[in-house]
Amino acid sequence: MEANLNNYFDALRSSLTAEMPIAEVQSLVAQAAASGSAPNTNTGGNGLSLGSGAMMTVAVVAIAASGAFYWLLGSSQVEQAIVVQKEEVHVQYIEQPVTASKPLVATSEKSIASESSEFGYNEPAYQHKNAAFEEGGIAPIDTIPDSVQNQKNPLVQELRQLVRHPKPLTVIKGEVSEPSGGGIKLITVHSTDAQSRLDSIENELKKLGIKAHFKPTYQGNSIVALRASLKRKRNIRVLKISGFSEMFIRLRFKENGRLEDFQLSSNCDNNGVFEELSDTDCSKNFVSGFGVFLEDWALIEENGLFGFVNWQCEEVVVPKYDKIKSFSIYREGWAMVELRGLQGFINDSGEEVIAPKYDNISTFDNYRVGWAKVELGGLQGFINDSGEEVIAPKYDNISTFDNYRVGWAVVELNGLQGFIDDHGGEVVKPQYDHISTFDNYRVGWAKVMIDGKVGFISDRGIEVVAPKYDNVSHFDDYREGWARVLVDGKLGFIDDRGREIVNPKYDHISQFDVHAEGLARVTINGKQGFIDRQGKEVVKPGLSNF
Amino acid sequence: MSNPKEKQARFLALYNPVHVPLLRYCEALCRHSETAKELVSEVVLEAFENLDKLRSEAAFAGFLFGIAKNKMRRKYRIYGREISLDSCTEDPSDIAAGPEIKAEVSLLYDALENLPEKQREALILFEVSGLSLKEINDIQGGSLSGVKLRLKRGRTKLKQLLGVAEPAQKLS
Repeated sequence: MEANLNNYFDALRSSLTAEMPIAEVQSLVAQAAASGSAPNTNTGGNGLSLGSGAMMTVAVVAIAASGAFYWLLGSSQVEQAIVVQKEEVHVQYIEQPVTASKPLVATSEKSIASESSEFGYNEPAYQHKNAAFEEGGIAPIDTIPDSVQNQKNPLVQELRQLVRHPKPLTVIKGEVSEPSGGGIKLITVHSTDAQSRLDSIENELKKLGIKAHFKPTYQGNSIVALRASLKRKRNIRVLKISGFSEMFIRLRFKENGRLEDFQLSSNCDNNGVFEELSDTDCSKNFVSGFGVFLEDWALIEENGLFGFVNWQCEEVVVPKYDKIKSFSIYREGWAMVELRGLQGFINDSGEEVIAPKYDNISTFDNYRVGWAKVELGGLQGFINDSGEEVIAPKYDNISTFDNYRVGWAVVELNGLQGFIDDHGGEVVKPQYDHISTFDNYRVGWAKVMIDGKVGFISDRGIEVVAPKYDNVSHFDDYREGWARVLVDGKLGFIDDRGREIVNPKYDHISQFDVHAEGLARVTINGKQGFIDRQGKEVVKPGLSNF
Repeated sequence: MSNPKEKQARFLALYNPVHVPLLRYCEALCRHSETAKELVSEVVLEAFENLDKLRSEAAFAGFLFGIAKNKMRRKYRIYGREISLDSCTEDPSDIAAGPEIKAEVSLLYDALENLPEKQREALILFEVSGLSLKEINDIQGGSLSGVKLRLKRGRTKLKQLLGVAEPAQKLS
């Protein structure tokens, strides 16, 4: 009896499972907007969307354990990359001893040897090449500040000596030279295009025992993305390499729990000598490098719990979470955190915007723009993107907004359906066994059912026809503005304002105008009569045969 | 061309409200969630590229669904027939649902196949995507009463095909 068409469509609707967060579309559009052409649509979920405001490298994804780094210069960096490409690039590195009396080479080799055995590396320690110093044009050694020269860590020393000169040098390509006076090693690379510059950086890093491999992706003549894998032979993890430009290269690495930062810069302010970012003793247990989650944050672990530190080694997020997911997956600038299986959010200022108290949180904007569905104890509710709980988790199920009516979502509680609006108000209390789509029977109304009885609610949430009919036809099927109703086997009419115009008392009602102009034939107990378009019985059912 | 940032914001503002209907429409046509997502991505990109050609913002839904329709056609009309509902599914049983629902759904699809394309489209847009009559009118063109008529005729035909009697007839 009730197997009507709507059941089929209900089945069809419930068979649709595709979910596509709006964020996916947003990043797609952002890519398209930035590149000016359609990007590959098959990037799936692996594509990194890059913040637009960042100056240099924006996103770095690292698999810290394997030492492989992915470094993307996003499409927003095209201009930057073009600069690199167009300009003749000149790279120059200097190595310098710790002190004048104690050459670097000896120190570092000793250190390497001891560490190698300690950590089981059998590879021979790398060797510095020695070559004759040929040419000047480099910042004189005495411009390097004393504080720098006095560093004790040999590796720190080595990296510190990587210097890029402010002015292009006319030195022979790939030349490694050393002044006859001893102590200073000068390596100069002169390249004319981006690829050879990368090659030279690789070479230079190799000399420091860092095995680097760059894989650039070109768009036209410019590098739009750069993937770098870095490996260090010793117990060292390069946590970050960033700022790939004609100006400088930045490295951050960790050795024996100590965090070191370097910016190898051609910045003229300090005579072409490196620029030191920080020299904080940071004895945290680093899990990720900087730039993996946020440009200036690195993931740390303490007693199995995770948090973040910044470049100054301050705990911006105290390690207290079991799990931290990447930023901006669920909402721009937020990262999901988990504690004892419960989910919450932190923002990129390190504040806990939503305490971990939900069993599950959906992506924002999936159900309604600015909202995310939350689940707690099997009940569903919503939070907004300011971190407020706009609808407490109290419903068994909440559908997507706008499915039935713009601004509304169906809610289910104890098997009963109702509606909430997109301000969080319960516009229709969950009291119906079933609610069908609006506008199906009549524009602005939706059919509701309680215990098999049919009624209607309006799109303002008012029950315009109480559920008391066994069946209702579509409006306008018999007469403009009327729908035929059935209750206890008797037929009548309601109008489109919910009033019962013709009491349900007839066994049968025909279409209007079939038997007589402007009239419909009605039957009670086999006796026929006629009603007019106002519902008035113009011929009372009394004659057995008309 | 306007500033890409503005274009992006404008596009997303227009697109946001129709995202879910579009996804459902594509999935209902494809009967395959992954293909539907791909299709949506392609539609979004094409729509975004051609946003400048959009005459009025009110016509956006029509513009977007029009692209989706054309994409389907171009993609699956290789075999010289009009869009068939299961044309992009290798295996129609792919639909993730219980067996009894599956049976109902495939019956419905079989019936939908027999409807004129416009009626079928109107029904899917209305019942599955949940668009309003006005929006369907924007997409399909013509008049509002035309849409109503299409829906009504489509429904009647479906009921016949599915053997679901019109409630009114049943009562008589």
